[in-house]
Amino acid sequence: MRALCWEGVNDVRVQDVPDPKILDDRDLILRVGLSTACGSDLHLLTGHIPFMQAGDVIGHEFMGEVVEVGSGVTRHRPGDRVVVASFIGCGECWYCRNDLWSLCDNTNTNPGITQALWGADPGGIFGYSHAMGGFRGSHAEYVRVPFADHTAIPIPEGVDDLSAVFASDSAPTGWMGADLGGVRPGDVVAVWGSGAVGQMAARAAQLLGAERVVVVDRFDYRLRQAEHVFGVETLNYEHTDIGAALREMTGGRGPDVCIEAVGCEAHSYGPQHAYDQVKSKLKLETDRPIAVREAIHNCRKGGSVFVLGVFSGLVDKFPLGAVMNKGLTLRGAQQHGQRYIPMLLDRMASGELTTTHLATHVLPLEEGAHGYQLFKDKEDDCVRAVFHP
Amino acid sequence: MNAVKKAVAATGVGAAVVLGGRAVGRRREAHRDRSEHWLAVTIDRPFDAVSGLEALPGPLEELRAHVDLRLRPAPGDRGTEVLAVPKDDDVSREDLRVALRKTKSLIETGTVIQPDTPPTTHPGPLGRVLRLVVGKSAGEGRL
Ligand SMILES: NC(=O)c1ccc[n+]([C@@H]2O[C@H](COP(=O)([O-])OP(=O)(O)OC[C@H]3O[C@@H](n4cnc5c(N)ncnc54)[C@H](O)[C@@H]3O)[C@@H](O)[C@H]2O)c1
Ligand SMILES: [Zn+2]
Ligand SMILES: [Zn+2]
Repeated sequence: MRALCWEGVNDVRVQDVPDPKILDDRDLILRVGLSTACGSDLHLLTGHIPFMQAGDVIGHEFMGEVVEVGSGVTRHRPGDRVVVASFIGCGECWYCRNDLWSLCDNTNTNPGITQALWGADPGGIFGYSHAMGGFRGSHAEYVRVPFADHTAIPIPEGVDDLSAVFASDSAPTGWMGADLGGVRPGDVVAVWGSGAVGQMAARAAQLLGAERVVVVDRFDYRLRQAEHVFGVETLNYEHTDIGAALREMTGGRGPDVCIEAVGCEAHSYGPQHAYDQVKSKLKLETDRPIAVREAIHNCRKGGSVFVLGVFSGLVDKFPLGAVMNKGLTLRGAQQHGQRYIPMLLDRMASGELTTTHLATHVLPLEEGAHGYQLFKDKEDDCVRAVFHP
Repeated sequence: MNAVKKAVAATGVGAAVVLGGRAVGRRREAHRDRSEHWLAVTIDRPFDAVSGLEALPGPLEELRAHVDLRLRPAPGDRGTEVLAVPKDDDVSREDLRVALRKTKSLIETGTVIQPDTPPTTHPGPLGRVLRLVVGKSAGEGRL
């Protein structure tokens, strides 16, 4: 079959690769319908996550049609239309049973790497390096879905493929940021990043009752989307002092909940950016936490900061003093998709949650490399490149 | 019932575990070299269910003659802690880590998840270092 493979730093190519096979009776084989590039893949492209080999199939946000099921799969049959959670959950360990699916104890096949890095291994994820399980990704014609009864979720009638594909990863990630960030009715919520994840977090904050939601980015086309589709307020950090604007908007308090949806390659101007770039070039810092710093600095006293952006290792100039002295709650997580996906699909069906505008570029899989270039360089007003095999 | 009494009362696996010998008290756990520490996993199943098994499934049972094994209820009824340490040089700590993890997965899920084969579709020379790390990674770690 054809699949988009990581071939080296900033080098992805569509190749012929072996078809996947059922390896366990709990597996299913999916014919991929749609599979979207995600901001997390950019961290693989740039080499921020070093546990990649040439030939690794990438992609983890996807939907499609079931074509084959193992004898132990009870919830799906060939022909079913399903969306697949990006994290593989066994459904039986303490973490899965407590709805912390991305922390599954039983799905990372290479636990030693992340145990050494982070002190424990999160669950396995499709197409996201050997440190996260070494599973083949979804930018392919077919993909094997382990623990299929939990990892694949049926798509209800009335939700089209292009809406549903975002229920795999970006929508539940955004929802988790607002939910576990503790958004309550009446809150003011600020979101850094107006990509798919940031926009989904902003929409989730609205649906959870936030009174004002502000999205921060530097790309006007992305901010305009968030404004037009969801009616949130926006701030462009190229033209505005974010701290001053947020204080003004919140009567001097600062937002109640700050959600970071940018990640380890955050952009900025001036000495802070130069500092982080030099540090990371010298391998003294693996990640650039610019938006995290800003979120912590601007959050109200006693407020909460949720880190959705992916970080892999160490950061520098971390404002611990602000966390401590302002009494902040700081949390982060990889997404617990299985916990939210059925509810999000229902909200899509009812029209409450719109996602199709994120798919600015729908391309054949063969144009995968071009899609990633558009997405990475934010060219042609790209928000997400979505591939169909 | 405290952990030791529970273990003694149990049948099957529970009855067979080592309680004396190298068994350790909480205070002593903190005062040993890394290489002497017992390796441990928590299985998300009640102590009575795990200790009542005829035999632990998977590779841990195969290593039984070469390891000391202890079972105890996790605090707050959060499953069963399985602790093991090699008795002789026939078992490495790496093998034992892998065995503990597989046995836990077998008890919780009935299976052990496999990566796609081959995980990399056209492995090349540059991936050799990573393959070495990955090859050892199941046995390395903190567990
Ligand atoms: N936690 C999870 O489970 C999970 C799941 C999916 C994605 N993610 C992560 O979420 C992040 C966003 O993903 P995406 O797909 O939306 O990516 P994206 O690249 O489309 O969007 C990131 C946005 O952040 C903006 N940005 C960069 N620097 C900024 C700054 N200093 N302040 C404000 N905005 C800034 C960029 O201009 C861009 O619009 C990534 O780090 C991704 O890895 C996490
Ligand atoms: Zn993602
Ligand atoms: Zn699990």
